[in-house]
Parts: sequence; C-alpha cells; structure tokens
Amino acid sequence: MIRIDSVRKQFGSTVALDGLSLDVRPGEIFGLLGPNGAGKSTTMALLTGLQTPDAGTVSVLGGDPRNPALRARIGLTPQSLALYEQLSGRENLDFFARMFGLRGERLKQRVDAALDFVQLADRQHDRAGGYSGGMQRRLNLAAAIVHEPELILLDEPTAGVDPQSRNALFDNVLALKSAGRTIVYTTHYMEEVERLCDRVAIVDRGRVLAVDSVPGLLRTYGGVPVLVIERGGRIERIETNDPLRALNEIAAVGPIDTFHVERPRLEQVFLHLTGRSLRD
Amino acid sequence: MHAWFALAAKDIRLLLRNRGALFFTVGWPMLVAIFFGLIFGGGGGSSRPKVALVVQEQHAATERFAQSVLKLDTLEVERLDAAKAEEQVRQGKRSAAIVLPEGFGERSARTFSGDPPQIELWLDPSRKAERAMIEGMLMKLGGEAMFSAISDPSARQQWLATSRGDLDRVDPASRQQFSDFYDALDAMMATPQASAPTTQGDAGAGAGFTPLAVTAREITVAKRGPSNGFAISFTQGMFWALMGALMSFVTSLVLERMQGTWNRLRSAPLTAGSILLGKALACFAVMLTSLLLMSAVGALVFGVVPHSLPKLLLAFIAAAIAFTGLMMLLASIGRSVQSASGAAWAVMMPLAMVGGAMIPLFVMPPWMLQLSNLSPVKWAVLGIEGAIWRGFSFAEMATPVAILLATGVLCGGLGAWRITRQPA
Ligand SMILES: Nc1ncnc2c1ncn2[C@@H]1O[C@H](COP(=O)(O)OP(=O)(O)OP(=O)(O)O)[C@@H](O)[C@H]1O
Ligand SMILES: [Mg+2]
Repeated sequence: MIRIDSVRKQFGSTVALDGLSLDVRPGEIFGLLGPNGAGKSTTMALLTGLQTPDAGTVSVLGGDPRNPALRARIGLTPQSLALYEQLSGRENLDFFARMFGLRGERLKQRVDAALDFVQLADRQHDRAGGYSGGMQRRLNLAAAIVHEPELILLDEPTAGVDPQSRNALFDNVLALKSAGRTIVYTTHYMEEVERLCDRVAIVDRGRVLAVDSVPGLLRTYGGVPVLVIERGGRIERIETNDPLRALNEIAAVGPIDTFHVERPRLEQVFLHLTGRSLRD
Repeated sequence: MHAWFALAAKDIRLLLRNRGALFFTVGWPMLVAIFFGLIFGGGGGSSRPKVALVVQEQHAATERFAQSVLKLDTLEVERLDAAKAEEQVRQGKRSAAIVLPEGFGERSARTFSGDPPQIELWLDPSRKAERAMIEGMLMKLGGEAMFSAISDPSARQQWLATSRGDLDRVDPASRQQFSDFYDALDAMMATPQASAPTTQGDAGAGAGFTPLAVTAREITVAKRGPSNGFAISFTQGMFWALMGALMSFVTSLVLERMQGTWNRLRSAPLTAGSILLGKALACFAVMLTSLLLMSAVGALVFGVVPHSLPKLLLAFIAAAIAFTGLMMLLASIGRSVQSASGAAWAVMMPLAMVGGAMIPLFVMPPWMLQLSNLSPVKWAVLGIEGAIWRGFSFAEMATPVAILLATGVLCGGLGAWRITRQPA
C-alpha cells in the first residue's frame, strides 16, 4: 500500500527526514507517533506528492504520488484546518469533491454521505468559520473522504478538540477502517495510538526508531511491569514479569494495605528509545 | 476545464462574501469616478457635441439657415471664423465645424434646379457617430428651410420668382409640370386657411431630390482631450477597479497558500498550474465584470459614451489580462498577506502615478509621458481612453493591447513559475 525507502528530505540546513523507511499494509490503521518536528507532516507531504524526496523512494498504491491520477485515490486531512471559512460546510465539501473529479448525482450523494458521516448534516448550510473547533475538525475529515479514497492520511486530526468530539472522530476513523480503508494517522498523543492503531512507527528526528503493534512495542521496549504495594505505611515497588505470583508471595508473609500494578506505556517505550520524554 | 471553473466560481463566491474586497473592486472605483468627475467639472449634463459654425457669405437665405443651426438644442454651436473653427477642431475642442460656403444662399433659392446647396463638415475622420448625427440634423434643417421658404409670404414670392426664372434650366420634359406646381403652390399658400404645407410639394418634385449636399473635409485632431470630465474620472475609476481586484486576489492567493487549503488542493489530482489558472480566471472575470459595470454606469448616467464598444471591450480584456498577470507575480513575492499586499502597493502606486491613473496622460509634461511608457498602467489607461474618447483606430489600439497582453503573459507566467517552485 505504502512503501517509503530510506527517504531523505532537507529544508535548507534542517534535516526533516533522515533515511526514513516505512511499510503500510492494506486495511490497517498505521500510526506515526513522534514529537513536534519529528517529520510526520513531511512524511504526509511526500505521500501526497506535495514534496519530493531528496533521496530514497516513495511508492503509494503502487505508484508515484506525484502522478495526479493516483492522488485521486488518496485523501488528506492537513494538520492545519484546510477549509474556506466564508463557505458553508456543504459548499466546502462540494468544492473539494469537484476538485477530485466528482460530478452530478454522485457528487451530491457523496457530499450528503460525508456530511452524515461526520454528523454535520444539520449545520451544512452554516459558514464553516462559525463552526466550533471540533466541528471544523470533523469537516476537515469529511473533506478528505468525500471522494471515497482508498488511502486516508490523517495529520493530527484531533488537534485542539474536546474529548467528546475526539471520541466522535475516533468512531469515524474506526468506521473507515471497517469499510476497508487504509489509514495513516499521525499524532503525538499516545492514548490515540493505543486506542486506534494496529501498528505504530515511533519517529524522531526524521528517523523511524521502531515499528510494531502497541503490545509488541511494549513487550520489546516497555520494560517489566511494576507491582506497587503499601504495607505498614511504606510503599514498595517491585519490578516483575509476573505480578500476580509476586503479590501472592508477599501476601503469604503478612498483610497488605493497598496494591496496584503499573503496566509499561508507550511513554516508557519512547523514553527508552530516545532517552527523553515525548512531551518535552 | 470543469476544475478551473469550479475553482474560479469558488473564488468569486468568496469575493462576494468579503465586504472589504467587494468595496474595493466595485464601490471605491465608482466613488473615484463620480467624485473626480464632479471635480473636473464633468457635470453640466453637457454631452451635446460642441460644434463651430462658419458662414462664408452674406446672403439672406444663408443667414436664415445659420440662425436655425444656432438654435439647435441637440448641438452646442458657436459661430466662428474659418481659421478659428479649423484650429478648434484640430485641437479637439470642438467635434466638428459646419461650414456654409459661398453660393449656399443662391443655391438654396433654387430648390429644384441646379445642384443642391452645399454644406461642408470639417471633422476628424474617427468621429463617425458625430458625423452621422450632424448630417442628419442638417438634412432636417434643410428640409425645414425649404418649407419655411414656401410658407413665408415674402420669402415665397422671392423663391417663386427665382424658381420660375430658372424654369428654362429644368429638364424640358418636366418643365410644364414644375410650372403648374408653382402656380398651384402660389394659389394654395395665398389662401389664408391653408397654413401648413402638404406633402404634395414632395410628390411634385419627383424622386432624387435632397435639400442639401453635405461633404466632409477631414481634419485630423492633433492632441485631443476628452469631451467630458467624467471621461477622465471614469478611466481613473477603472484603474481602481483593476487595482481593487488585483489586491483582493493577491490577498486571496497568499491566504490560500498559507492556509491548508492550498495543500489540500495540491493533494487533489490537479497540477499547481491548473489551480493557479483557476485563480487567474476568477481574477480576470472579476476585473472584466467590474470594468463593464463602470462603463455601463458611465455611459448611462454620466454620458461617458465610448466611441467604440468593440474597442472598449478589447481594451478591457487586454487590461484585465495584464492586471491578472501582475496579480500573479505580486502574489509570488510575499509569504504573508501583509508582505504581499505591502509589496503590491509599493509596486503598483508608482506605476499608477506615472501611468496616468492619477494625473491624466494628456496633461502630462513630455518627460513624464516618456517615463509613463514603462508602466503597464499607462497602456491600460491609454487603451481604455482610446476606445472611450481618443477615437483610436484598431491599428492604434494594437500597441497598448499588445503591450498589455505581453505584460499579462510574462508576469503571469513568471509569477506562476515562482509559486509552483516554492515548497508547500
Ligand atoms: N516547508 C518547510 N520549510 C522549512 N522547514 C520545514 C518545512 N517543513 C518542515 N520543515 C522542518 O522539518 C522538520 C519536520 O517538520 P514536520 O512538520 O514534518 O514535523 P511534524 O512531525 O509534523 O511536527 P508537528 O508535530 O509539530 O506537526 C521541522 O524541523 C520543520 O521545521
Ligand atoms: Mg506536523
């Protein structure tokens, strides 16, 4: 579906991508997790032909995304809202659908479907500039899927959105996956990756540090779980791969006031891989 | 194709929803046109052609005809001597001179024999509309003069005496017929009840009769000014219409590129060139519409009637193409709305200043006129003036039109090339 091989991209003296390689399989939600400036948006730009690699190769849907015909099969939600505020929600979708070659009855059907999909049908005639942040994000998503692309690229689609709209967007993404679409999802929120993505690439400074499913990453890089117990007013932290057995052994010795298990999270994976925290 | 129109329609819709942009492309130019038109003393409702009257003999009939010309309320007529009249026509101060030459009175007394009375019209060959209008009015006056000669008793007696005396010069076949006609006319007009002439006179005169013969003498206008102050101010207003649309589209193009919409469009199956072409199409359409609106108001309300409509359309199209190209180039300079519109003003204002959009070209000192050749604004102004009041021929229109088209293509191409090369 997507194959990026040893791509290098430099802007002046800034190296945005430094030998980045990726494979995305059909039908999966693939996460790109990385801090600001990691090169996520640059990767998206390469995938839609907006940027050309300085070195290395990019293949999308079996071809070069700089080929316009191929781009008709890709949908992008840019990181910044890409909407005309003076146009209504419907006018925005109608316009972008036309840009992807839709006409006539199918155009109307697809605009209706996209509005329904993101639950904006009742506000379709209001100007996009008057929408809330969450509604604008939803319209931004709708504009990327109005032409029914096979491959959907979502660049931080939840930026600046309240939890409720965020959940609605998650539902949308999962629905698109069920409909057989392939999705690339960039974010710097670990929760989103944990909740949505089949596989994740951890990127930093233009390179992929690791690619795997979330459990796989945790197994490999997350370290061991920690059993935390409180007895006699003291807190003890015990690293163990089998917290239940450890708990039983301790309970056999004497009474325990409270306990819980700290499972490794992607935060630890990131810390382990880069030596620094994701949110710095 | 479809994508270009959808792109252009989107931009036009956005413009229509942007009150500021709308004001600067339509409202402000109109205000400039009206306000400065009033300052230039355009008003007065004087869209009547100014005409000189030259009388080259002393003769009662000639004098009567001259008086009737002076009384015309469709023309603004002043009686001048030949030299003065010719000079004023040459300077474009008057559209034409009506000349009643020697022998005019004599001939007008001989309605049905000899040559019809001659009138000369001195005017610029380009003034075709005025020529037709003046000739028509003179013919009408000639006809009326003949009827009044017949209905006024003393004039009639004189006219009949001359006419009867001339009978031997008339074609022998119709000599008797004319003689009978004069007798009948004399008898009929002498009866008090018969106050108005009937059309019998025409019937008796037979075919091929004209009351006057008008010949034209061409005087090419050396340096011509507009007839109406609004003609200057509306040309200036048209510059502001072009300028307003240019600024609006510089802003909209830069804004588009800064917002994500440009990337979204670029990710569509469109080339950058076709996105820019859509933008250019919208800009061109807005400019042309605004210009047509200005000229319609100018013509219908302020008497700025273009000398040639096809030439005006040609000038508008060429000017809109040039300004669309300039828009593209200027939009490629700035990376923010402020810097782009700042640059656009900085470039356009000097071009407008020397280009005749502020100081009319025809009052410019020669050195400035030389300098103005460098400004595309000058060629836009000249093309529009050429079609409105300078009376340019198509050959004369060719220079400004060619320069404007070249400006549009070169600037537009360079701008588009710069924009598509810049990273998203
Ligand atoms: N058009 C550009 N011109 C110059 N530098 C650029 C450009 N695009 C990206 N960069 C630089 O390349 C690097 C990677 O940027 P990119 O936008 O891909 O990061 P990102 O992972 O999307 O970050 P964020 O989470 O902030 O969106 C950054 O250092 C950025 O400044
Ligand atoms: Mg980004």
